[in-house]
Order: sequence, then structure tokens, then C-alpha cells
Amino acid sequence: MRDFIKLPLVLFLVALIAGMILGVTNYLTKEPIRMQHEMALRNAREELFPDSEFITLEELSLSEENDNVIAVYESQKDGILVGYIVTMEKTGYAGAILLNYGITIDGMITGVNVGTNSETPGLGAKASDVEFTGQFIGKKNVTLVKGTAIADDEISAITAATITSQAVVDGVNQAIVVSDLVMEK
Amino acid sequence: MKSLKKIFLNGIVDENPIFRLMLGLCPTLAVTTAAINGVGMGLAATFVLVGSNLVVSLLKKLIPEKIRIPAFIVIIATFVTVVQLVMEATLPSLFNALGIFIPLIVVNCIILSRAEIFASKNTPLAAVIDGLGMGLGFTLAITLLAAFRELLGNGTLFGLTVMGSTYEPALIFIMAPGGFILLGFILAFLNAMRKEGA
Amino acid sequence: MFKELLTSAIAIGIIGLVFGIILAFAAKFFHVQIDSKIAAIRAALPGINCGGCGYPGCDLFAEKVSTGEARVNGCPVSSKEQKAEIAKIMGVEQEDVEPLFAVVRCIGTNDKVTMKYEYEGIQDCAALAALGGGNKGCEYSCLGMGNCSRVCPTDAIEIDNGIAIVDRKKCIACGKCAIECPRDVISLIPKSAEPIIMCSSLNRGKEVKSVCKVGCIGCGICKKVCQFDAIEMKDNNPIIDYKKCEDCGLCAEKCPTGCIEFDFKKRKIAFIEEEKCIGCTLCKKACQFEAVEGERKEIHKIISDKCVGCRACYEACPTDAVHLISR
Repeated sequence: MRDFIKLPLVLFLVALIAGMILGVTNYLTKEPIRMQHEMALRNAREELFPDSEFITLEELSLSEENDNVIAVYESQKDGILVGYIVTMEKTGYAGAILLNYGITIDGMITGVNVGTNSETPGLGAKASDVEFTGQFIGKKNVTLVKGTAIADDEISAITAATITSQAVVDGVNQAIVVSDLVMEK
Repeated sequence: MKSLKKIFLNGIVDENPIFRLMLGLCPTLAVTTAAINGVGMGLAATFVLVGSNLVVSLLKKLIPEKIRIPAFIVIIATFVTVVQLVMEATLPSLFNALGIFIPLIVVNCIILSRAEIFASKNTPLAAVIDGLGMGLGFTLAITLLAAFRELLGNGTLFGLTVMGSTYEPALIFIMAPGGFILLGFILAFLNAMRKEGA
Repeated sequence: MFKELLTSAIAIGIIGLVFGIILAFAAKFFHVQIDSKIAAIRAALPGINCGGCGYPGCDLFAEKVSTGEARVNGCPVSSKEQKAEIAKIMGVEQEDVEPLFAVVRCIGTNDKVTMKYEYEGIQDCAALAALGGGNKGCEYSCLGMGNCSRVCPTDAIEIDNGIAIVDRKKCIACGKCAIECPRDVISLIPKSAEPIIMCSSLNRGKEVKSVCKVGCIGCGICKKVCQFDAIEMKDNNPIIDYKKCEDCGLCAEKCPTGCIEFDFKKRKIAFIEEEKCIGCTLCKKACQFEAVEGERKEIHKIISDKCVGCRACYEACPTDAVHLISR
């Protein structure tokens, strides 16, 4: 009988105190974490559309197949629409990769910004390097090839990191479609 | 009761969690693809280990035998979550690199096993020293492995290029089989040293 | 801030509470009667699962002790206090059992024996023994391929010049080497044993001499010179009864082939403390070497030239007046 009081009571107290500590920590780190995310977003924006203003598009109402799109931002320079930033999550080799794509109103890629991910250093993590992302600039719809890219619409995959490379390529093609859809509205 | 110095050195040499006790091999093989990740994971785990050892030792008389496992896990999980939140707020690149393995520190064998075997049966001071020793032993071990893997598999060390541009990185070392093979070699070397020295 | 704090704390707290209740139920429903003795015994053991007790783990040994199947002091690596604790749990008197160590009874090194053939094969004693009884002339010899050394959990065995030698200090008397040896030349003897018979040969005379310079020829001189009747000859091989042996080393001194190991440097000498001596002559009667002088009621003295440092007078003295000191 004593067990029925002691065991739940001790676990309740331990859990309660743990919960309080976590609550405090969460409160203290909420702001810095939010700032980290904001900074990452600002850097991404600068990279894709330098010196522009951004408007977050509410009410995206995209179809189910675009469920992985987190946000779409309108990019404007001096009040004129120049393009969109499509932020989405694609599954890479080791989980989700946060991707920001800059697409002009003509469906041209201005850049690829790879955000938070857990890809393997030296392999999939190389997707963040400019050697890989730089390939996308100025292209429209692209396909992935292993080895050297010859044609205009080809992207050379990272050696031994095809899955990650494919995810980025699939993402950019999806971003172009999404920006088209949004523009029509 | 062993001296504090002995307890500390025990975790680094005699009972090094990776090289002797063979505990915590999951993060060892998974995050040691870059030396800095090894250091980051090691220090995060050390913080959790010291913290949980201390708390478990302080509460050892109050926690009934029958619920010691859930109680330990709650304590450990609390420390891990604190580490996770602080890391996300202050070191985002390391946080991303370690990814899912930060929450997995909760079930890192080293931490629960030291809580069970040592902290619940020793004074708080001894428990803290043991946590430090084991944690540092873990950090040294995985950083060593990570340094090798990064050097051979990527030509860099802590992000700085070491091997010349003519070096063709042996990518296998960054991948899982390479990790296992390299760990095996290190263990064989250490065993041979022990046998000769003894 | 407080609202957030409270929500998270209460949320996890309630989960803890619920699971605490579930566990309380489980503890009641699934309760297994464990003999508390077993748990107590298990807690008193060093817990390294070395197998030295002969059982595959400390848990099983604790169980066997509680049922009486295993000896209370059966754990060779436990301290005196731990043995006393276990004895207390079982409610028995703790017998003082002498710690043991393993000895390889063979000093037939490669230079002292005649070889039948040169062996180039698997470094395994059993394999070598299977080839016509091994490469050493003596069929009772240690083959020195290191099987014992490999199974030793404390690295106490070294192979040197064709024979295995056990480090007395490192040995924990687990017995694994004795079981492993295909020639059965390893035995467990008290850790304090001083003269040690270092030959396992059951042959005698010329048969032994022709194959080994340091083998026991079964002459029996050791038995004859022993003043304490501690040596018996069995099948041409001497066996020392350490309960009777007084560490005098005479057998080792007189052995013609030098196959009895004895550290002559360790030989002590007796010394009688005058204040404590009551002149009872018990030590004089116990001494087989006529090394005590002094009549009844007179203070006794040790004649240092005759004293061989055995323990006879020391053990015979009723007032603890005899001390054994280094020479």
C-alpha cells in the first residue's frame, strides 16, 4: 500500500522539478533561437535577391503534393515584383534539408541556399558549398547527372552524394512550379 | 573507496567507455565524420554525464528501487534537453551537424550505466569526478576517431585543409564501413600496447 | 513566464504521476519472491564475473552460496572483509582459508632437456602433445606453447625458454590455467608455500636423468630429511603437505637435482624475546635442528648457526616470545 503512494509521488516530484527546469530553459532560449532562425533567413534572402524587400505570402492553398513547402516570399525591388523565394523541406540522405530557392518571374533560378540539415560532412554536407549550388544560377528546369554536366540544363552531382544532390534538384524544379502557381493567382 | 584522482583517470584510461567498456558506440560511429563534431558531441555528453551523476548521487536515498530507471531517465533527459536548447540558441551549425544524435544522448549507454553502477552508490563528489573522467575519456576517444576519419576521408582536420590538393580523399572513411574498420584498428593497436606493457 | 513554466512542469509531472501509479501496480502484480539473502550476498561480492569460483557469474555464485552448494569463502578475489560479510549473512563461522596460487610444476627449460625433434607448427600445447608426446624428452613436461598464458585473466603467466612461469602476485587462483593445461602440470597451492616441488615426472632415476637435467629422480631424500614428516612420495613424485611443512627448506637444500624451489634469501632466523621467555623448553623440544639452548626456567637462546628458519619454535611458544626475522 505504501508503494502506491511513494512510487507515484516520487516520480511526480522528479518529473515536476524536471518540467520546471525545462520550462525556465525554454523561456531563456526561445528568443536566441528565434533570432538564429531569423538571421539564417535574412542571410538566405540576401544571397538570393540582394537589396530587395520581401513580403510573406499568406494563404498559399497549395495542393497536397506541395505539403513540404513551408513558405513563399515575394521579392520586390523598388515596388516591382522580381521573383519569389520558395522555402521548403526535402528529405535528403540523413533527414530533412531546409532549402531556399530564388526564382525570378521568368522561372529562372537566382540561387540555391541550403539551410539546416544533418547530411554527412564531406559528402551530402557539400551541398551547401558554392561549387554545387553555384551550378544552379541562371538555369531553368534542371536534371541531375553524375560526372561532368555538359548540357545547359544539367547539374553535376556531388561525388558519392547522389541522394542529397537529387533532393536539391527535385526541390528546385518543384520551386519553379510553385512560383508559377503563385504568380497565376 | 578509490582516490578521486584514480576515479578520474579510470574513465580516461583503464575503463575508457569507448576503447575498454565498449559503451556509447552508436554516436561514436555516427558523428565522428568530422573532428569538430567529435569534440562537440563529447562535451555535450560530458555535461549531461556530470549533471546526471551529480543529481542521481544527491537523490540516491530518496529514489525507491522500483522506480530508479524512470527517475534516472527523467533526470538524464532533462539535462539533454537543456543542452539541446542551449546548443540550438548558441551554436546552430554544431546543432545541425549533430542533428538527431543530441536527443539520443538520453539513451547513450555510458550515461545510464554510470548512473546505475556508480552514481547511485557513491558520494556526489566522487560521482562528479567519475562523470568528468568518463566524459573526457569519451570525448578524447571520439575526437581521435573523428580526426582520423576526417583526415583520411576528406583531407581536412577541424575544417582546415591538411592533405595537399593532390590527395584523393578515401571517401570510405567518411562512410559507415570506414568508421567500423578504423575503430577496429585503433582497438587492436591499444590492445597490443596493453599486452606488451603488462 | 510563470504560466508557461507551470504548464510544462505540471504536464510532465502528471505523466510521472501516472507512470508511477502504473509501476506501483506492476510491482504488486508481478512481484517475485527473491531470497533477500541472495541479493545481500551478491552485493557483498566484487562482482567482476571472473568465474574464479567455478560458476559462470557472480549472480549464480551468490545463489549457490545461499543454498549451501558453494563455500562461503569460495570467491577467490574477494577481500577478507567481503568473505566475513558473506559468512555473516549465511550465519556461519568464517573459516580462514589460505589464498592460493597456481604453479607450473616443471623447470625443464629448453636448455635443460633433450629434444626429440624440432617443432614448427601451431603454437598450441595440445597440438604439440599429440605429436608423439611432445618434443621434449620427458612425457610429463610443460611444453611451453602458452595455452595457459592465453587463458589467464590477469596476465599472470609468462612463457620463458620453453616453460610457463606464474607470477605469484598476479595470480588470483581462478584455476583456468590448470583446466587448460593438456599435461596437467599446473596445481593450486597456498600463496605462502615456500618449498615447491617443481617436477611432475612419475619416472625415476636414469629414465629421468637421460631426458632432463633438473627432473625429479624419485630418490626420496627430501622425504628422509624432512623433520616434520611433511613429504610423501607418490609414484616417484614428492608431495608436500603444507599443513605440516614448516618452511625450513632442508628438502630443497638436499635435493640432488635441484628440482625443489625455495627462496633461500627469504630464509628467516628465529629470535627469542628475553622479557617474554618463561623458560618452558617447548621451543627446544619442537626444534629438530638443536638450535635452541637453555634449561628449564632459564631464558632460552637461539644458536644462529644451527637455525634454519623453520617455524617450529615459533609455533610452539605459548607466550609469543619467538620472532622470525630476516637474516
